[in-house]
Amino acid sequence: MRIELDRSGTPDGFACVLHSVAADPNVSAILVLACDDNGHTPANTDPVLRSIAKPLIGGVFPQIIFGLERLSRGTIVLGLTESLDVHLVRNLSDPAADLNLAIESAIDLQKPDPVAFVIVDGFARRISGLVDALFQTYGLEINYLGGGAGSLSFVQKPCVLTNEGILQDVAIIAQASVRSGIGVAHGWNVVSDPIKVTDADRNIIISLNHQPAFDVYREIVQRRSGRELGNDNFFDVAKFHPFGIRKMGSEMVVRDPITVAPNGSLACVGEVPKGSFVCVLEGKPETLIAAARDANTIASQALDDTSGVRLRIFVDCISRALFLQDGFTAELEAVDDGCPMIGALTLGEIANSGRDYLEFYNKTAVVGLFLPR
Amino acid sequence: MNSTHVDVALETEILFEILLSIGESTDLETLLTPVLVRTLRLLNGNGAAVLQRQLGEDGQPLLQSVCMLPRVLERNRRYKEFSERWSSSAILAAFDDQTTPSPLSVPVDGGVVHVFQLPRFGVLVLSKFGTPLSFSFLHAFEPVASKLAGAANGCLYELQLRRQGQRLELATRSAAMGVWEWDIASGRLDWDDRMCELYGIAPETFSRTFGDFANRVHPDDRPYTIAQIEATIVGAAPLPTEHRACLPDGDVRILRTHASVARGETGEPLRVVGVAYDITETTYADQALRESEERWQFALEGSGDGVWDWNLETGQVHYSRQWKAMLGYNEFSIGDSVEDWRSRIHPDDLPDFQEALEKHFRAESSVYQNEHRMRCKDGSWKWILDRGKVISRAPEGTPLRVIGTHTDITERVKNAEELEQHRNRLEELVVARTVELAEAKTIAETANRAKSLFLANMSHEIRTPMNAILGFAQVLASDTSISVRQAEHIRTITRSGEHLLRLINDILDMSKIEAGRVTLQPSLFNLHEFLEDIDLLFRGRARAKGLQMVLERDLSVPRQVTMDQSKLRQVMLNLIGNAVKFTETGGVAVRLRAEPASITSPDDPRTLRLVVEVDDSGPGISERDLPRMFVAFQQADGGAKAGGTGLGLAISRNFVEMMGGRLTVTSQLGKGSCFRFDALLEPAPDALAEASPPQRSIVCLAPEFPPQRVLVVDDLPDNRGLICELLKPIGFEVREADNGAEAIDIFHRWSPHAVLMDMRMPVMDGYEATRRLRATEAGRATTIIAVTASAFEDDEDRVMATGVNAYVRKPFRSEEFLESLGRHLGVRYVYSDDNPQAGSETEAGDQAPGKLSVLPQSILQAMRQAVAEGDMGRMTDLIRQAETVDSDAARALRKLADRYEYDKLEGWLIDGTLAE
Repeated sequence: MRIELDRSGTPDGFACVLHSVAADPNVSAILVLACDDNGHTPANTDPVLRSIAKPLIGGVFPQIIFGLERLSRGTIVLGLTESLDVHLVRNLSDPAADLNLAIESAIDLQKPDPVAFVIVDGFARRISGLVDALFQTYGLEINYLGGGAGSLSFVQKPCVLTNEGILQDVAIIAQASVRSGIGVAHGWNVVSDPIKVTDADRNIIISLNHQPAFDVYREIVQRRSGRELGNDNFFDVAKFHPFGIRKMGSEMVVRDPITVAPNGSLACVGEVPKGSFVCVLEGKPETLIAAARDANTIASQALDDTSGVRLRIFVDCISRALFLQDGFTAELEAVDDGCPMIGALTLGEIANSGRDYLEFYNKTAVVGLFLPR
Repeated sequence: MNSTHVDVALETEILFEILLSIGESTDLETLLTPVLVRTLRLLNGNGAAVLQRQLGEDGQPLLQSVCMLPRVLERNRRYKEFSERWSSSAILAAFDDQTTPSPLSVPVDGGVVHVFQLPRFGVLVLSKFGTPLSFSFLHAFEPVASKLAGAANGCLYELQLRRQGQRLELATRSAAMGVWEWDIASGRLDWDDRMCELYGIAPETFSRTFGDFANRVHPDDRPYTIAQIEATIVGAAPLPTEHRACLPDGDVRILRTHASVARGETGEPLRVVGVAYDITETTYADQALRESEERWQFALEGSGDGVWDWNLETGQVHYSRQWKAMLGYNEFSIGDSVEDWRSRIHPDDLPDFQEALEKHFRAESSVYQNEHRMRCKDGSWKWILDRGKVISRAPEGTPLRVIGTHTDITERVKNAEELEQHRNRLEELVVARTVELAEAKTIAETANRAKSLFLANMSHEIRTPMNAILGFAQVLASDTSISVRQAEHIRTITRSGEHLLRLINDILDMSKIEAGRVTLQPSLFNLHEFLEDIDLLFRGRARAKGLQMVLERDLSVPRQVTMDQSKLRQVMLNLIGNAVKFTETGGVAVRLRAEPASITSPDDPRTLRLVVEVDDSGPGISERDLPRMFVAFQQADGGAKAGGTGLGLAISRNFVEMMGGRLTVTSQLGKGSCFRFDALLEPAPDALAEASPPQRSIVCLAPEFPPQRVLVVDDLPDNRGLICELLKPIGFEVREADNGAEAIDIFHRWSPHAVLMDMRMPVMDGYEATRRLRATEAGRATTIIAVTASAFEDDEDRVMATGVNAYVRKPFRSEEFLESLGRHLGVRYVYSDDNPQAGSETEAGDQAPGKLSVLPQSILQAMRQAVAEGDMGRMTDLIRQAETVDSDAARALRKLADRYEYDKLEGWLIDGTLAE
């Protein structure tokens, strides 16, 4: 295993660090975490990616994590000694696509210690459908870790890194054989009664309790925050008040509303099923940081012995960083124990702890611990 | 907020959501998958399955999975644990008896499995980690389970209906049947697509009325058809009926209809349901068959064949008049049973008859055919060719009717029997002749093997003394005290001996060729120099006869080539030698060119073909002799007169063929001959033409080595003498033994460093002696080199198997022999170029050499052969050897060789004098 950081974020710096790791004979596969501010485009990125002969996966994220640092520019390249079996799902927003068929041969459960890195275009419209398909096909006999790539500009653009180049509207499912422990927690608390999603189209909540979704949401959020909620300040206020989808006997799945449409529907990161029950949530810095610590604890408990842990991958929602602001360092410290840590601040998180229904999370902290052979 | 209130509301809404997910699908998996997805997601389950209750082969209930999520749930490590608990026969039976509480909650490692009964269908299983579902929720779930069971059963019912429909459709489609249904009350007549096809119309053009149907029936058949249907409705007469249908395109089809009437409780007709199918082809075919049969019967009777027609259902056989007449009966004197036929078949032929017939009945043969004898009325036997075919079978394949013919083949059989007798006699003759030939072949092969062995032995036995004869004749020739007459006698001995040796060599070559023991030995050499040597060799001889000798080498001939130099030399010496020998006036022209070899395989490096023509103005060859030119031991008249062996051209042709070419001749008596041959060669760039490393002459043993004792074992004193002459000047101490036993004796007394062992000796041969020496410790520590004159190369294996250190075949090159001996003894020599004086050339070289008799006979003999063959590479080697004995003589020889003065060399070596 080898971790390299390029702080420049320039195309040359990107190419240099990538070629350096790729040339290492001990490296069998490569994971790349790059920052959106690097300005990756197919023109400046594809030639470099296509020149790499080893399996490569990665994403361009709003920010990345290197130890206790949060970087807005630069690239982390992780050289894995274990190989990756990479499966690409295209046209992830296509409502007609048969996602069960698309992922049918993605994972081989016969291989030991299966773990799947799942990197998706965070603005694709059927991420939850993909996650459902993964669960329905492969169940919980495998650990999943990943999240949504993309830009905080909320404009969909190429953001998933592959040997083919930088791609849009795709998902990568890359299987490795490595012992791992995964922990998931968010720390958001319910501050409203359950609200029924009476109409929804994938990630768009059209109506809540048979009223325009925005009206219902605005009423609750304004009451809780004391702030007026409009189109202009929607995300600034909404990032403190996500939705939680209720499930029986488990923590809620958080859904981050990001934009409001003129017809009063709310666009979220991740699908909100029609007929489900949602609540409005609120978080406090201390509950969020405690949840990150919990995620780390859960991940550790999933392993019998953590002494051999050599890598921590921290997939944390960008909205948590925006929420915690300078206090985010405390979140990083909460999961850090000195072991090499890299990660990304994502647009939605994909993980399971081996117990619950596999979900596409928002505003959630996911810790993956790895014991490479 | 009141959390209990929220939970109940949530539970209610969850149940409602799951209920809503039960859709309208009539396909089980499509129905169940969304329900399981919704249930898993809302209840945070990790696996769910719907299992259908079925009866196993043993009559016990079992559960069969019809939908499972995740699809790999069965591979879940906990699956086995809980599946065993819910699927036990006892639990299933208890479910059936309603004694088992439903839902059933089974705790498993870290979670719980809830099993809900799906009434009259099976069970729904939900696996979940963490907190189990509440008791109240589980019970509240039961109505959902019931609704799901209802929907699932609906799917099964639908499936059953679909299958029935499919079966019916398949059945009617495969029978090409149309299905119709006439509702009597409404008058509506429904046709399926096939019915419309039968009437030649598109489904949308049929108005679904009885009238429309009736109008499509042929006017002549319409009243009858309608009457039949009416009679069916009132129960007076059942269908089937047949009628003609008039199709819109003018075609008329014959349809057969079957129908049955559905009646109400009081017997009133409600609707008529029926099928119809097209029998036009069958009807016409039946009619055509009847006509065809009549024609066929007529034709057969005309041909003289008898006809039989066997109805297997009734057992009756109709025999035609001719059938009976063939056996000498009149038309009325034979019955119509099979027995009337069978009883007349020869008892020996009955089993074959029966088997052929049954085979055809089982449809294992396309026609029945058998030849058997039948008894005639007068008691005589006739051979009958009986042929037949089943023309009608029951649906399950049982034959119903067979027809066939009888042909009288008595005459043909009689002829065939005679023919067979002739053939048998012929075969016996062939077998006898084959045996004779095989015996002859074995004898010939044995003889040939014996011949090869004899030739090998003979060559050994003759060549060895011949070396001595020629050698000592040479010694005598150099004696100044002999008279002129004696000198002439000695020259005759030498010439005769050399001719004899050439003859033996030719015979040996031929026997090797015949035994397939000659192989190509390609090597890299300078072809231009090779040709110059040949040219020089013959130029002198030709000039001496007053002939012109021309050698034309085309520019296409490469300088450096890889091919079998020795064989090429032998062929060219033979052809040019013959040309010079037989030509008395005019001259000999040798022309060479190279051209691309088009027939070689891509892997063959021999990309060029050397073409050589030897053209002379000699006596020519008669047309009669031409075909015999290349046959071993056969000669043209001229050849016989000139005293050739008759083998030269045969050997040459074989060598040329081995080199991938052909040797041909064109000639006319009195107008000269032209021999032409070609051979494949591998060209090499001139850069490869490295001069062979300069060979150095061995002068003596290096001073730091003590004298080495060498025991020379050979039954022939001459051979021992030659080796001793070679070894002693170098500084070896030598003793001799004339057989193996003596050698062992000397060995133990004298402890030599090396033994040079001849392998063929009287008393005890070299094989045995070597084995005995190797059996002793001292013998194992001693170098033993086998020296043999055996002609066949593969003897080496046998020799090496005795445990000798090395193998040297006579005649050998002295440098190689000494190097080999030195290598095995671990000694070093002083070479001629180690001492600048030894090899320096003086003016003495220009002077006539002294007496050659001081040179060893073996060297002189080899030199004569090298000059005769134009092998100047070998000559150079020999001169180097001579240098160690007589440096003046060697220098003079080298001078002549360097100037290619073959005439002088040859004369000097033969006569011991230098021609001026």
